[in-house]
Amino acid sequence: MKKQKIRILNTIVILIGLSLQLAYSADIDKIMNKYSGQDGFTVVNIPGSSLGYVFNEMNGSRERNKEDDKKIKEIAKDISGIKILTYSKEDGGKILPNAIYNELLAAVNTKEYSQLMNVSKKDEKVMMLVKKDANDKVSEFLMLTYEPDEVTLIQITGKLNLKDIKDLTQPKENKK
Amino acid sequence: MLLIFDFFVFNTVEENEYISKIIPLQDKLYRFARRLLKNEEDAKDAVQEVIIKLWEKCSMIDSERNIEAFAMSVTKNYCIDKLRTRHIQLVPIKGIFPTQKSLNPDIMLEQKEELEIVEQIIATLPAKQRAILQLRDVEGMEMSEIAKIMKMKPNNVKVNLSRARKKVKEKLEAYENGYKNY
Amino acid sequence: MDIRIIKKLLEKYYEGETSLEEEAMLRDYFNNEDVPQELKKYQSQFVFYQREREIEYQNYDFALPKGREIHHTKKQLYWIPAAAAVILLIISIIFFLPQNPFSHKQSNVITVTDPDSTYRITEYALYAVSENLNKGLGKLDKLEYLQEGMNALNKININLSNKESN
Repeated sequence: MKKQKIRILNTIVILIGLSLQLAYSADIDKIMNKYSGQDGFTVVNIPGSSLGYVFNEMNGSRERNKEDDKKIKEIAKDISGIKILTYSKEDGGKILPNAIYNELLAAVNTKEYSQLMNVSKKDEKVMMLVKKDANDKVSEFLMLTYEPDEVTLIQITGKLNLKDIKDLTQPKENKK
Repeated sequence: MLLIFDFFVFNTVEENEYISKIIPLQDKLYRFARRLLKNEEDAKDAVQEVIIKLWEKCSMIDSERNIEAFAMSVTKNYCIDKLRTRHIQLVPIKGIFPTQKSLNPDIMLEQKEELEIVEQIIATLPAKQRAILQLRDVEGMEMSEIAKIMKMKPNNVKVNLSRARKKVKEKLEAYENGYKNY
Repeated sequence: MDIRIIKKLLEKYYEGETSLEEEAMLRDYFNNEDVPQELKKYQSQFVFYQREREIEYQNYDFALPKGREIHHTKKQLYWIPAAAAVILLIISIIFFLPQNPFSHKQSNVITVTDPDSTYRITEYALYAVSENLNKGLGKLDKLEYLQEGMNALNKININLSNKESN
């Protein structure tokens, strides 16, 4: 009887585990969680609730002029979450940023995402990945950057218009 | 599932197979043990023990091997062992001569009494000879088989058999002569 | 049977040289036929051996002793359910590992809820992405915007470290 009880319990446990596995989104959360406690890493999470409050209900920025503010607001209202991971030796990191970059790159550069852009120089590396939904719209965006002092991974989830985001830093005067 | 392991109630297939092989041998084993131990109760115990011993050794027995010879061999070893630890001669030897003798030498003893005398005479023989006599004259085994069981050379078996038979004859004659002389 | 043959067989018999068939003949003779006086002394032996053949064990209530240790126990099969339980346990643990609600692993993810930080960080993130997009996709004055981006980042870092020390 004792053995039978153990087996029933195990079956239940497996079923729960499986269902949890399916419910959670994939690897980024895992990665962020994994590194969050390690030396030199800072992980920031902006949940949808915070974003909704700031960009849908509140009004005004602090430092930008009104026009830029509008643009940001416009883009941000469709975003459902932002996660940022930064790594720096100054924050206590003991490993070379380059190694961290490579590690993170290997972790995120999976089949789920397609590469948008890739810059690879000695002192600067940028990798952009997107996940598209059924309508061929971007539903998730990843950016992994490397500089000699710092590595950053940004994840933005939600409906994204990359053109609008690009235009954020486009100089207003195209002709200089 | 628990029932499969509950061999306290049912015999396993293996056990039943073993039992079917052993049952036909019981009588022989009993008679043999009885001859050697000279006591019926002891002989019954011996058979029980031998059956258990055989079961334990079952997996080691070559299926080709003659299980009868092996069983007899185990019995012999067990009984010889038992005899060594005995201090008492269980069959009281009142002498091979009966205490009461009829004055009339022509009156034949009842056959039953005579048979008892024969048994007692055999009981006075050394264990080895008793065993061989039993295996040949009662069980009707071949000399080679007896040799295997007794772990003796066939010729040696023949010699001992001859000695045993002669002794029985002589003692029987001596008894009758003694009787006659009375 | 001819008495002379019997006498001859008896001679062989006491030398241990008779075959089983010959012994059978002797036995048959002494048990079933009229034995003459001179051979009577041999009769009891052969009768005795014949009687002995008929003794039976008479214990047909056959039972193998169960209480005793016998090498043939099937106990070795008990390991199967035990092994199965262990395997199931291991599998369930593996499934639980990545997002284990019961794990005590330190998760130092900072969740931002105040509007100010939310805004700043969102702004930073969007600008950083924007600039990098443009790096790859268009021409612009890198220095200027990089500088701005870095400033924004520094400010946010200061904010964050302020929060942590609080």
